[in-house]
Amino acid sequence: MTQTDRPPQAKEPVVELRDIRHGFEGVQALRGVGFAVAAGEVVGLIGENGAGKSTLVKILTGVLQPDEGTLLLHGEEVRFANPRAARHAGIAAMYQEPLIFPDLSVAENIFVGRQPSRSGFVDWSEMRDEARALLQRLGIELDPGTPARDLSVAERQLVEIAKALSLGARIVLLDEPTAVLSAREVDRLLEIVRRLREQGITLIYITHRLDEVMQVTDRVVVLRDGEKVADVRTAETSIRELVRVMVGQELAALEQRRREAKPGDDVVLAVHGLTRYGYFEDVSFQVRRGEIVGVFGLVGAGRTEVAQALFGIDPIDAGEILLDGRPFVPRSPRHAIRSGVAYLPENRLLNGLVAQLSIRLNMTMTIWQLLARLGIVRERPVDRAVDDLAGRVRLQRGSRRRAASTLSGGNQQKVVLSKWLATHPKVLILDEPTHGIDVGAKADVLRIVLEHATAGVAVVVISSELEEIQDLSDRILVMRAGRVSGEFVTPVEKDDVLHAAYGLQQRVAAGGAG
Amino acid sequence: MTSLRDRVDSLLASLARAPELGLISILVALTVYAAAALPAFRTTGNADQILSNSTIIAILALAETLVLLTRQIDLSVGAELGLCAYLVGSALGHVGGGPPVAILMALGLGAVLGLGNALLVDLVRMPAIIATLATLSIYGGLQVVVTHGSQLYAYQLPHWLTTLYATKWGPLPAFACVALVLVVVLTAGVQMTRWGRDLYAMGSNPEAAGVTGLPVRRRTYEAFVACGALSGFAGLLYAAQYGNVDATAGNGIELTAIAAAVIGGVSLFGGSGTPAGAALGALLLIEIENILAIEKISIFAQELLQGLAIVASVAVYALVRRYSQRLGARRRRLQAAGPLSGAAVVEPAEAHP
Repeated sequence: MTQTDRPPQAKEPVVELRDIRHGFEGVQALRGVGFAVAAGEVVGLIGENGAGKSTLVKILTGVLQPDEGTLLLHGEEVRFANPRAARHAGIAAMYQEPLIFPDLSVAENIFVGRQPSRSGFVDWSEMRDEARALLQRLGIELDPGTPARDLSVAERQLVEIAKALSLGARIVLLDEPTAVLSAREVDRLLEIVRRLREQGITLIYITHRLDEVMQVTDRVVVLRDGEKVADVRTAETSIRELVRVMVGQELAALEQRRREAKPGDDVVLAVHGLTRYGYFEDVSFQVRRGEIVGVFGLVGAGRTEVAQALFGIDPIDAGEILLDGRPFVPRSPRHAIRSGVAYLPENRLLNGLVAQLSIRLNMTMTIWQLLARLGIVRERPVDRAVDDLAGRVRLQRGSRRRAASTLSGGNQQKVVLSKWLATHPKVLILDEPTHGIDVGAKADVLRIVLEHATAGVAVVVISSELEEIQDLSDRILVMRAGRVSGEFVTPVEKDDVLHAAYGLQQRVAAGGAG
Repeated sequence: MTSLRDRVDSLLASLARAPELGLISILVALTVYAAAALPAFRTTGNADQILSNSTIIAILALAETLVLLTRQIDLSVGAELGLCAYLVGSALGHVGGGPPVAILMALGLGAVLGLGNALLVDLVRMPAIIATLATLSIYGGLQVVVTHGSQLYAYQLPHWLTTLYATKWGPLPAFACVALVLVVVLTAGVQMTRWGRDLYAMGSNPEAAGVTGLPVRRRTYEAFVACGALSGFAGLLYAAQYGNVDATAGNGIELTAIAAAVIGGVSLFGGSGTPAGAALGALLLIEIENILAIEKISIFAQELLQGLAIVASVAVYALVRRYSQRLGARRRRLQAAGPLSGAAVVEPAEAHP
């Protein structure tokens, strides 16, 4: 393999797509997408599920051929009849779960079919040395002699990358590589992506995780419904901006409809001087029908504790709660649910999801009693309820009888959310509903919140993501050290909210809320 | 405490890498025990007999190994052996011929029969187990047809062939030498050439082999043809060993051959095992048979023991493999244990097996 020291700033496009169109069974997956990638550039390709990312990958790797449009490689028009042609042209793709040979060593996985040989016999030590050199150059710490069977998914991905490069790939597509990796493994992968860029490899990085896009890419291309809706330099954009571009239109429309709906001024939930000594004191606020109230504050400010008190998990020492104007003393979560309060807890794995139970049981466990007759839960009403809920939260397709643990984080959150929507709550309290889930699921959660508010549900959203609350809420309640330290009607300046949260008079360092 | 554990770990790890070591130790232990306990076992003649009697099974197990490595199976090796034994034997009886002619005929005829299997698997897309079950019947039926219910007698065969079984080349019986040469050649073939490595890769992950661009179809043909050729060659040795060949020659021997390969560490799921292991598996089975015969234990008990040996060996391989995988997982955890970055957002990892 030749080692070219091309500077990453080189500007001539290595790959260029022009007006690529592709349809399948009447569904137009790509409606004229075009962009160019320069040598040594890392381009992030993002978009919701169904935006056309996978179709684009398949076209670039020769699995599919475009109906219309041209593909240029180093300025020359090419057409890949099959994956082999694309590979031959130096394009390699790495998927979430790479195909490896479990019985062969790391070194042999890299060189299979073209092992270094001397007079017809495989030169094992030469192969191991070459593999070691290659892995070292990529900064991958793996013993070439390890059987691939013993590798983690992350390590298998690295072997796949090494293999692609030793096959002469100059353009590498990474298709949602981090969805199955731990945080530490993600860091390691991103490190290797940077190293590849230094070596002049061109990368197209497909992901759902915008923080990774911000960390590692030079440019971002956003697809929506088969069209390119943005193509920006990473340094000149932000996560918030990207989310807006990806899912903005839909949410904006929902937001618009909610503002027009004007469900009325009746106060659904009123809290006066609520106190639990040692946790929070003298907390007062009101939530109206169809209103979304955001609760912001640092961890430990008492936000979750207030929610847990409202839901009957924690006791109340003083104060009053009015639900629809009538006094409400939550005795237990069961009582709260029956009174029309639902609470999506902060940690879905700890408190929200029974991971070993099936998806359908998780979704309907709050309403088993309603679905049962003579104490027996019947199949058909459960199925009907599950179908209805799954449609409302846009749950990923697949069997509903699988264990909930088999779902991705975003879909798990949707399952937990549907459980609470099933109770038809008057008051919906969401504690960090978008924490640690991908963009698509995040948008779905926000959409669900907007839809329910439009329908008249009083919504309380507890979140550490200020921008999200700013966009979503009608009012923002700020808590600090167990007390309400500020209340703002949106739109509001970020700094004002942060000041209240930190209890400062002076401006705090920008981005201090993390 | 830890050092003992480490030693057990490294022992199991090396066992997982080279299961032949375990098999050799069992063979040695059995031999030492039998030699000490049974005077009749100790004779040179008996040792020669064990080695010679293992040869045919060993060669069939080698043949089967080539196919098993690619995650296929050949149930017809016994029928191929029988048909080749009869046809090559009669041909030699009618027109005569030296060893080169005989070997070429046996290999050639076997290769043709193996090609039949490959065609069914590749062109007709039959699963190998069904295709070769069919050819087991077809080749077995052909054997009945060509023998007309009669048989081939030793006196009809060339003299060099009928005396081969009792011949010694140096300290070893000729049969054992032939088996040894084949083990060496096939070991070199599968371990040290790209051709052989392709077989392992195909069996290890057929999908990946296709995607990687390995010549999967071609290798499938080659594996079945080589398996047939070796079975044909084993047929020639069968004629040499028994002299008489009838319509039942080779009946059921394929199961013993597959058993030998499996006991020797060749995986039915492809991708792992070695020719040496398969041959050692054959040796172990025959040695057990020999000991039981000396002890005058019934033939039925022999079959029972063979079955138990299969169960035991497969269980041991599975356990050793699982253990070494767990070692791999522990190694990863140790590597991963380090300072974790503060507020890392941990997406719950997808469960993967």
